[in-house]
Amino acid sequence: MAVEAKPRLRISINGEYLRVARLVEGLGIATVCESALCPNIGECWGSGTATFMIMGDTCTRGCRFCYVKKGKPEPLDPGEPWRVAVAVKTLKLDYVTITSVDRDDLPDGGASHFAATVRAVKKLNPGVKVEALIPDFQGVREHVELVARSGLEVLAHNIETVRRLTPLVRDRRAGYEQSLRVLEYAKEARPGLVTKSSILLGLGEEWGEVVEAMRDLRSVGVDILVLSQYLRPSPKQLPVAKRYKLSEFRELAEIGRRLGFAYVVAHPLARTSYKAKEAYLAAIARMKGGGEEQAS
Amino acid sequence: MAVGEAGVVEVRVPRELWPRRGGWRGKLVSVARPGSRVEKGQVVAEVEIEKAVLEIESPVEGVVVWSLPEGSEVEPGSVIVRVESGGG
Repeated sequence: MAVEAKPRLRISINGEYLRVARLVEGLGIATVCESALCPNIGECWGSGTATFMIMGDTCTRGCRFCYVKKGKPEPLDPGEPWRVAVAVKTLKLDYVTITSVDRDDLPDGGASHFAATVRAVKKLNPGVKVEALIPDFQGVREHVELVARSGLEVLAHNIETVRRLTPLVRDRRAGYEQSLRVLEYAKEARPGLVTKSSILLGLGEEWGEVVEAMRDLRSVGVDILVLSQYLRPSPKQLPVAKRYKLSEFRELAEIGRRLGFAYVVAHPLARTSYKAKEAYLAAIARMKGGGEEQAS
Repeated sequence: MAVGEAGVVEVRVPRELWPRRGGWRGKLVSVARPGSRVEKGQVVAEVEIEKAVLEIESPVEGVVVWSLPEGSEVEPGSVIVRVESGGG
């Protein structure tokens, strides 16, 4: 792969970045920014925000695009919800994205812990908007509903790739249909809830398959779509099959808008939580009928 | 960054980048040569990792007095350039 094809990241560690680094380390909270080698860490931490990853830093699944540690996780820490709440307060966040590893070892997949974290964040930070990027909880409706009804504004769950590539890209316990059902259950649990999903591009999918995945997401009422370029984190993960041009991202975003998504984030470096507040505000404005047409 | 001998600043592959997720490595694909004058904030090295090319800035204005050879394998904390602050 040519060097020129890879994104260029200007590394600038400022005071705000170091403040975030000290805070999350001091509170013992994992971040997906670090765990997944997120390319946007400089921009996000440098502007005083982070995406917290609860239930530890070790995932029970082995998806082949992901850099998060895999293995046997530590037991849940009952103090974690409160520490996340303290982090949100300390950083003075008015919008926070919380995600987690998969915890197939727990009877409820960690749904009650996730919901407790949302409630703790809300309790300590009145007015804060919370986005939860959840695992699939093995497709158990009750577990999805527990989080969907915990008081959050946005429930995100990533379909990650197209139907055909799902068995190759994701852990065998994940499923394309299962992920669609998770998004459907969330919407049914709280019809006003904003839902969101991401597709990683560049894993070998065909253009028509991407459009099909977008249609499938709309069919279960997903409001916000994120399209981003897959970047191989290390030689242990799947190779990049294609690097999409900006013009292709724009074209897919336009297709997404025509399919009825309230907002589409489409950029090589976009990630589910990247500029999540902006996407949420634009989406609800559009859903209420008062929003501007999204610029391409 | 770290100050080594008097007035000489070491530019490293930042340990603060993804601080609790070590294990990543990279290759130094371009670097400012000894004798080059650099400004504060100027990119003095490019490190290719699997995901991206990292552009690393000089934290000071000065003159490069030493740099690691291009093609070297690096990791978080590796010293890649030494800049004599304000020198020249």
